[in-house]
Amino acid sequence: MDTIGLLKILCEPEGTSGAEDTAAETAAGLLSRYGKTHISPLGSVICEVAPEKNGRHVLLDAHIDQIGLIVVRIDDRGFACVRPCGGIDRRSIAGSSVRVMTKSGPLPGVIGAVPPHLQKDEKRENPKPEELAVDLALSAEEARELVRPGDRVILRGRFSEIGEGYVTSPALDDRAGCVCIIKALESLEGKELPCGLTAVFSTREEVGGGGSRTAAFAVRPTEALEMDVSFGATPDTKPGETGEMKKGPMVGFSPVLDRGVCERLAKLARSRGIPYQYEIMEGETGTNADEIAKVGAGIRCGMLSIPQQYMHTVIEKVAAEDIEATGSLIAAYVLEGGAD
Amino acid sequence: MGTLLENLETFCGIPGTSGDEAAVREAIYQEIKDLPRCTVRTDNAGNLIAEKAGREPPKSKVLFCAHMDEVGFIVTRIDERGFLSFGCVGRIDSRVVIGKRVLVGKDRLPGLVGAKALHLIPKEQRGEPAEIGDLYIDIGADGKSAAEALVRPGDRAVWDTDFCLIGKETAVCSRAVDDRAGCALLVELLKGDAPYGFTAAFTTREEVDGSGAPAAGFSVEPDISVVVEATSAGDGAGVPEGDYVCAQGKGPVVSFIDKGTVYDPALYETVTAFARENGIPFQPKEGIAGANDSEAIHKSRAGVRPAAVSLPARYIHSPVTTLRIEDLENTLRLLTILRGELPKR
Repeated sequence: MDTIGLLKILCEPEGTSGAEDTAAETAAGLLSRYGKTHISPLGSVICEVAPEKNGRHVLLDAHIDQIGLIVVRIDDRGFACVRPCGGIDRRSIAGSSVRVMTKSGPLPGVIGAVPPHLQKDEKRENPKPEELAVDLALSAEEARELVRPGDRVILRGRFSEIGEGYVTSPALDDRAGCVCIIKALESLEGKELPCGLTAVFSTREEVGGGGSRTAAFAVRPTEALEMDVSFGATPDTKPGETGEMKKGPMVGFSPVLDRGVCERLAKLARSRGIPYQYEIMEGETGTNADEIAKVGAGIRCGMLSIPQQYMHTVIEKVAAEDIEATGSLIAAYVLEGGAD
Repeated sequence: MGTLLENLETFCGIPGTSGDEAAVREAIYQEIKDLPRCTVRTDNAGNLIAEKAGREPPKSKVLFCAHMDEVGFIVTRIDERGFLSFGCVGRIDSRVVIGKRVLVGKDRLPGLVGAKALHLIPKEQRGEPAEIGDLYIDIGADGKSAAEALVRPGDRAVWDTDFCLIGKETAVCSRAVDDRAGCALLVELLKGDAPYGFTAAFTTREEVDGSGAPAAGFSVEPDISVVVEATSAGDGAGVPEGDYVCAQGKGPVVSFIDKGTVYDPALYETVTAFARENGIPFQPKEGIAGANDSEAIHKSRAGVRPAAVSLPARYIHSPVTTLRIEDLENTLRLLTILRGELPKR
């Protein structure tokens, strides 16, 4: 399937951390043609493409959860008070149209903002999620009937193509990574694999990485590639602080990652003419790779990041060509991988 | 012909920032041009002015007034990488801008208002609100010339939020309730048979310098003006009751003072008395906040007696202004009575 079509299918279902069911179902539907697919106790989607071979078993991981908010109580005027569920960008919440994901379906609401006319001269700050609440236009009684503490709140965004080959959607972190894996599986289909291969779309990355850690334990791979989004350059970033859009996946180098796997990824990209760039980190990567590396007796990890702008807002943006390049590099690694 | 709610949705759907109200004006014009005994013109300030003849000539000439423009953004510059710098048209808090989708220019090109990821900002600075001048609109163009083919400095942008109903279909939500709700109400007043003649002005530029209204006040020469405006209901989450100024669900807001106008005390009494006598809920504006077209109109020519009947709307000047439908309907009831009664005085 074309990249943008895949992104659309995978980005549409909502799935905040710990409540990824709908997104996981959609993902499982897409993965099942590539291998036996099941859902782990923590909700991660695990697709067994090929069993271990030649002493190698590669795990491909991307996370399926997205950031959001969680309802903690309904106040006496019917407002639903919220807390963050994952590291939502606090600058982007006020003035948002939202959906509360209730038992009986999504309920529309808004998170408002005090208008300039009514602001006092006190110190202006970006509101924290806990200072905000969802206005449901319901009485306390009506709201309590429909909304339960624990219900998730998603800021409304929209999937769309924008400009020259870009896509924007609230859930690109990290459905974009999931699509990279599907693109790789597509291109590997029918090929004789030199190693075992399992794809995992893991849950709860934004709240501690429990989904990937436990899936990696169950799969017991010899090596793992993590596909997540990372910062893409914008006019207000410094050179070197981020990756560049449309320059291919960012090959991660970090003390946490396996140097050999990373070198191999860079070398393969070079020899295949796949665009790539570096992402150098001083310590942890802030992705599931940190979790997976520590599983069992240790797993050698490599990491490919898709440059993304506006992380943790509803206007996350990636370039389709970066996803395609990442998919190609993953496939190349599976066929000719291992540490350098 | 659209109903009140249909018109509100239609009018809210059209981008029309201050000074760029033509498309909104056209939509309103289409709605009122064939109404009986209604003469419609556009003046040099861009105001749409409808003179409605009644069964009897009025003793006092009454002008009902709502503004067509809305707050939004104006593209100021296109940078080398194709990002658009912008300024605000009207008062917009920079804290409701980041991470929002916008529609740019006449072709409603999709854009994203971005800022560097919060992760890249030192923790102790994450609470500091952005300066609008540091933000940009991303239209997905790779480079200046690609962007210049689509956008020009001076083009406008508005938030890309859909008009929708929330609650048990109890409230509408849109970026442009202020003041398309007033426009939709004036269209209702112009429909059907009016007991006395009156004038409705759909004004321009209220959100910037208010330069539309004085032109209308000058040419219409009213004795009384009634500004119909969405006003800030401060009854959001966590706000103490004393700071509400006005609240949703309590009916039209009648002003005795705001930051621009001291209203005519006798008219205030008259308006509230009509509401009371007719069992229409209403609320006084309990605070001195905001201003509207009354500020300019009451100073027109030899002076105009001002009144304001406003709609209590939450989260004004944000992408998600909300208005209770019952408040909209109760405001229409009160205005309909005023249309019949004020011209007698």
